[in-house]
Amino acid sequence: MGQMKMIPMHFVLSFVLSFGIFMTGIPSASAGDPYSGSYCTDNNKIFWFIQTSDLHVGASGTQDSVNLQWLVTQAKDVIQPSFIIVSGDLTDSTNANLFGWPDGPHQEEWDLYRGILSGRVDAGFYYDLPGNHDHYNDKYFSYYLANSIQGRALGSTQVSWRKEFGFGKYHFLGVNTADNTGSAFSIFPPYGDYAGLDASELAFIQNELYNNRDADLTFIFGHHPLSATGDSTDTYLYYGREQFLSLMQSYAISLYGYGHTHEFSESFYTMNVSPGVYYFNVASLGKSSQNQYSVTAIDCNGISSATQTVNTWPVVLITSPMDKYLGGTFTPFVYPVPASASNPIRALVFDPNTVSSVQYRINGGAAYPMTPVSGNPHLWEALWNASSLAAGDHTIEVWASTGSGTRGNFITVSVNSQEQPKVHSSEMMTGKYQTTGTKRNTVTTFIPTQEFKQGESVVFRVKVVDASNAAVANATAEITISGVQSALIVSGPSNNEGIAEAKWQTSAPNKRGVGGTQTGTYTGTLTKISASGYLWDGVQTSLGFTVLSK
Amino acid sequence: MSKKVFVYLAAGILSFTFSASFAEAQGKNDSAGESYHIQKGMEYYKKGFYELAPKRQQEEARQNYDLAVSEFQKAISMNPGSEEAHRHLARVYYVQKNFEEAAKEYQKVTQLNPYDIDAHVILALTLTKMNKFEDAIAQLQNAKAWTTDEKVLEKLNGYIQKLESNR
Repeated sequence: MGQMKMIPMHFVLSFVLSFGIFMTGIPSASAGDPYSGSYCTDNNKIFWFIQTSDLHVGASGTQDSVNLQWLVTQAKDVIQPSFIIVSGDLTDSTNANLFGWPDGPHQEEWDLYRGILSGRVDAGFYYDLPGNHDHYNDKYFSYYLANSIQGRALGSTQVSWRKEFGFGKYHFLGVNTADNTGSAFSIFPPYGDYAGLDASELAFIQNELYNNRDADLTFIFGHHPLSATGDSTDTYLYYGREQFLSLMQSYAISLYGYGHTHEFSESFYTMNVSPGVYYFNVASLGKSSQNQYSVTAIDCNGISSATQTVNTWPVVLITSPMDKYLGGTFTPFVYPVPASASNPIRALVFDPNTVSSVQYRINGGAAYPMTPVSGNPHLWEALWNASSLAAGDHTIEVWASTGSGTRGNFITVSVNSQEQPKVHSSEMMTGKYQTTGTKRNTVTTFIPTQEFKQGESVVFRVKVVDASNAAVANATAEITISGVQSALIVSGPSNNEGIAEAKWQTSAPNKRGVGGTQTGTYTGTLTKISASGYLWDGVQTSLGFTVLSK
Repeated sequence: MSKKVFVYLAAGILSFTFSASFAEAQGKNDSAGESYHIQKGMEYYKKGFYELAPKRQQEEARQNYDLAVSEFQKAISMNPGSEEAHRHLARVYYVQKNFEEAAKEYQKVTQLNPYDIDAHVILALTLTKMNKFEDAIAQLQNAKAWTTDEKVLEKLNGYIQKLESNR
C-alpha cells in the first residue's frame, strides 16, 4: 500500500518497475469513469469527505492548533465525513520563530500535532500527507513517518485507500509531491522546495491505480500544484509531472486536490491531460486569513464541493444536479438536466444546531420547501419543475435556516430543450450457457433457468428499451444480488436487440467440500440502467434464483 | 660547474622535492582526515536527529550530538577554513539549542562565504533566540551588501522590519 523512501532496495525495485512502466508504456487501464455521474432519482447513493490543507502546526499564534482541534472534534462530529484528507504541511517547521523561517523539523510541533489528534482520528479515517514544510532538512521524512497518522500506520509517505458502497467503488490516492533531497529552506528559489514525484513515487502511484482500476471514480490528492500558478513564489511539480499526468489520463482520474498556495481555487486542468481533471486548491486551515476547508460529495457519481470558513454554520451543499460550472468552466463530466416536471434536487446540510427549514429557488423565484431524506439526517430533497423553463442556463439556490443562521449554496444547470428520453427494462431473466456437441459441431445455447449449481455462472439477461419499446443498444445494467451472500454486477453493453448480459460466477467447494458460494435462495435486482442520451425510469425489477450444492 | 657545486645543487633539488612531496602528502592526509571527521560527525548527527529525536529518545540523541560536535571540531582543527565543517557544527549546536555556540559557528560560515545569504539569515535568527535583536539587524544589514537580488533584498528588509517591531 505504501513505499518507504528510505529503503534502498525498494528504491531499486521501484526504479526497475518504473523503468518498465515508462519504457514499455502504461498497462492498459480502464479505471475510473468521470463521465459516470448521472442525474438519478436515488437518494441513497451518496457519500462525502472533507479536504483541508496546510495546517502548519507550530506557526506563530494559535490559529493552527485551534483550527485543527475544531476540525477533528466539532467538524468531524457534525459533518460525519467518510474521511478527512489533509494535503500536506502538517507542521510549520518554524516552531514559531520570529522570521517564520523553517529551521526544523521540530519534535515539539509534531508532539502538538499528535496531541490534538490522539484518540480522535485513526488511519482509516484521517489521511495526512507530507508537504514541503514537513520535508525541509529531512530527506527521509523521518519526522513525518514517526509522527503522522499515516506515516506511523504505513511507514510510507504515500497512501492509497478505497471506499466501497452498495452503489459503487471509489479509489483515493495521496501522493508525496514534496522534494526528495532533504534541502534546507532557502531565501532563493525554489526555496528548498524542489517539488516533484520521483521514480519510486511514480511506481507506487501506477501500481495503486492499476490495482484499483475497477473503481468507479478515482481521486488524487497531493500538496503541490501541478504547474506554475502565476505567483513566482509558488513552487510546483518540477519533475515527474508528465509521467503523473500520463497516469492520470490513462486511469481517468476525476479530481486532483492540493494545497500549498494558501489560496482557494477551483478549475479544470487540461494541460497534457485529456479531457482534464477537476483541479481544486484548498486554502490553508492554519496559516491564512481564509481559514477554510472543503466538503466534497459524490452523489450518483456526480461531484459537488463547497468550501467554507472554519466554525461557520450551516454548511450547505447541493449534490444533485451537478453544478454545470464546477471547476469554473463547463466540463464534459457534467450530465444534462432534462426539461422534466419532476426533477430531483438534493442538498446536504450540516449544522450543530437544529435545522429548521431547507428551501430551494429556481432563478431567484419563489422558495419551495425541501424535506429530509429518511435514513440520512444530513440530506434534504425535493422535486422541481423544469418543464416550462427555456433551454439553457438556470440557477438553483438552496437555503438552510438553522439555529446558527441562514446560508445558501448556488449552482447553475443547463436544461435541455426537451425532456430526456427514458429507458426501462421490458424483460429480465436468469439462465446459463450450455455447450453441446464436439469439436466443430459444438453449439452454445442460453438456457433460461432459476436453478444453478455451485460453480456455475448465473447469467442475467436484461432487455433495454425506450418509451416506444424500441431496443436500445450500448446500455449497461447494474444488478444487485442479495440473499445468503451479496454482490453487485454490471453488464456489458446491450446489443442491437437491447439485450445486456451480466454474469455472476459462483464457486464450487474444494475437494474436501469446504468453501464455495453458499447455497440458498437469492434475489437479483435491477438497480440501474445507464445509456447515453437516456434516463433510466428508475423502476427496479427483481428476480429470484437458487444456488444448489454441486 | 665544479663537482662540489654540482653535489650541493643536486642535494638542494632533492631536498626541495622531498619537502614538497612530504608537504603535499601531509596536506592530503589532513584533507582525508577532515573528510573522515566530517563524515563521522554527520553519521552521529543523523542518528541523533533523524533516528532518535523523532522517537523522543532525547538523551540518546544528545549523546550522538555530542559525538558529532567532537568530530566536527576535529575536522576544523585540521582545516579551520572548512566552511562545511563549521556549517555542520553550527547546525548541531542549533538543534541542541546551544545558540551561543551556534551563532559563533554561523558567524564563521558567513566570514568564509559571505555570499551565503541563507547563513546570514540563520545567524540572525540564532541571535534572536538570545534576544540579540540589534546584532541580528546588523547581521541582516550586512547580508544586504552581498546580494543584488531585488526579491532577496525585499525579504531581508522584511525580516529587519519584524526585528525592529519586536526589539
